[in-house]
Amino acid sequence: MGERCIRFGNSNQLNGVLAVPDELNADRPAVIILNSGVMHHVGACRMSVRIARDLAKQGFLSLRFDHAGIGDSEPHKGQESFEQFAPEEVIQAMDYLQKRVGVKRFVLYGLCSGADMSYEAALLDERAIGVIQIDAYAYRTRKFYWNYYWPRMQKASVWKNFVSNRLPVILKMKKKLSSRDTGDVSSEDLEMPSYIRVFPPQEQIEKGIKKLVDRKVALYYIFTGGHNECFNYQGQVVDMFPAVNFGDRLTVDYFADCSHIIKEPHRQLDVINGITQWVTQLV
Amino acid sequence: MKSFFFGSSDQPLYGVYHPPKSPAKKEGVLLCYPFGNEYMRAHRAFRQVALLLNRYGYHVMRFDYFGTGDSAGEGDEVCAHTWIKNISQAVDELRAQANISTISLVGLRIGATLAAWMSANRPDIRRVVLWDPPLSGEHYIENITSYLRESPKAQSAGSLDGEFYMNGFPVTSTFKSSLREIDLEKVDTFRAGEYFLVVSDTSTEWDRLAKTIEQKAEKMNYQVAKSPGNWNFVDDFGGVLIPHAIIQAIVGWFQHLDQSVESTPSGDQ
Repeated sequence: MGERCIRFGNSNQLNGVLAVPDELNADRPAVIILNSGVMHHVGACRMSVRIARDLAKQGFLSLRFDHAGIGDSEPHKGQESFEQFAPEEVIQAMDYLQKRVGVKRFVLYGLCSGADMSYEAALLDERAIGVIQIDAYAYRTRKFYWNYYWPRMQKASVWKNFVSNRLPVILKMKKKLSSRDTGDVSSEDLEMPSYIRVFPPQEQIEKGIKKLVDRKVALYYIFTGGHNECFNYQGQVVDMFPAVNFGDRLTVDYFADCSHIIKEPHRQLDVINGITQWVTQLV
Repeated sequence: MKSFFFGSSDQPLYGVYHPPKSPAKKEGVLLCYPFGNEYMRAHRAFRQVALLLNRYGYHVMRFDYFGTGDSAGEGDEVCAHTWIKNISQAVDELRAQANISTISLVGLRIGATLAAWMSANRPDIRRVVLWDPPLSGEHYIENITSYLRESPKAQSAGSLDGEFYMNGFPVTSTFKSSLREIDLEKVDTFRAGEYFLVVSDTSTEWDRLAKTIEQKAEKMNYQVAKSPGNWNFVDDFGGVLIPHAIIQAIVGWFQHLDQSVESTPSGDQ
């Protein structure tokens, strides 16, 4: 396994690191690893580096890169918003690898905003044959609400609290919605992602996923407990998108005890092994 | 800006070289990162420091220590002694990249402590900036364990007495014991030409360190530039910290030195 720094993109503005297996086979898909928020290409808890190296050991080429304006890449020069230019940059990454290495098929991987951009790019480019999303867009279902409220309803103390503390809770929720917890840092000293994560309408995503599945794109979803305000059971993906006949195109792992940035060492291994095994099975 | 791997082929280190805007000075500045989530949260601020120093003609390089970032090695293989060697390797690499001989160091948190420690044994360093440094490796361990006691969610595995995970990064016994050997109060002589201790808040520990360096170095400046210093805080939306006041203080110190050097005939310009 070896690693190489590359510059690519329409104006050579993007910086990335290629993890190259000892024996490179251009017939195998390459994995493109995207940023999460404004975290650079090393990834939360260094997971992008570890995933890339594990994939290389199993014979898969990968590219972890920074979108324009993040990490070691240059700022974006146009007027487009992040969600407009980021999928285009993923396509530029595919173009680069196809031209330089001859790879024609790709798996796109991302966590949080990276999950969103991998989905968007896969919709735009048919070279994407697989998408791995951690904490992707999720929508509450009846069973979600049941899982969420039933354990609470069984506790008498919850009813008592509901009545006596209702107002403070509502006020707290309002406060939470109106301000992000920045750890007492003023906004001028903090850089937050310019991409504001707003889940598109459920029907729109369902339509997009149907399009991907019709194209035989394989989907691997990993959900963490850090996303539990909208996802809380293994079968929720199928329930969220009833119009999609996933067939054998869907794999879901739900790690309820895992944080959003995967801080837990045993879950870090589960995610790394899960991704490598899934990509291996894909070919 | 150019990213590359350097060092030995079996343990390559990831570096990013920022060439200066003209007119270029004959001086390079090496940026030494902190550890763990502090590194993730400081990455953007380091790039900012690099670009600002570039604007004033400095060659700048930042790099990842062994077992961190894009460099070779696993997170559980990290060791303070290896990192000190890595700083030394990176100094040589910056010299080669920029074709210059004069190098200064800027370190944040444990990166500052290690940079200052290295400068005590390597007399060819011109200036060292210590940004929010722990006095010693032991102080650093105390600092992170007390943070984890206050924020137990940040500890994802292990026990604070032994090995543990802080915000998803392993803190091993080997790392801890290597850190315990680093103590800036035990340094005999700080050999770099000049030291700048710049801190985000007032503290008796930093006052103590300022006195120590003052006694053992040729020149020392100390400034409190009130700014956020919660490098380990993890928010739920991936924010990164860019403490403007302290960045301006660092860049301003380099600028101020330039002006004083330019007015003397023996300056390295």
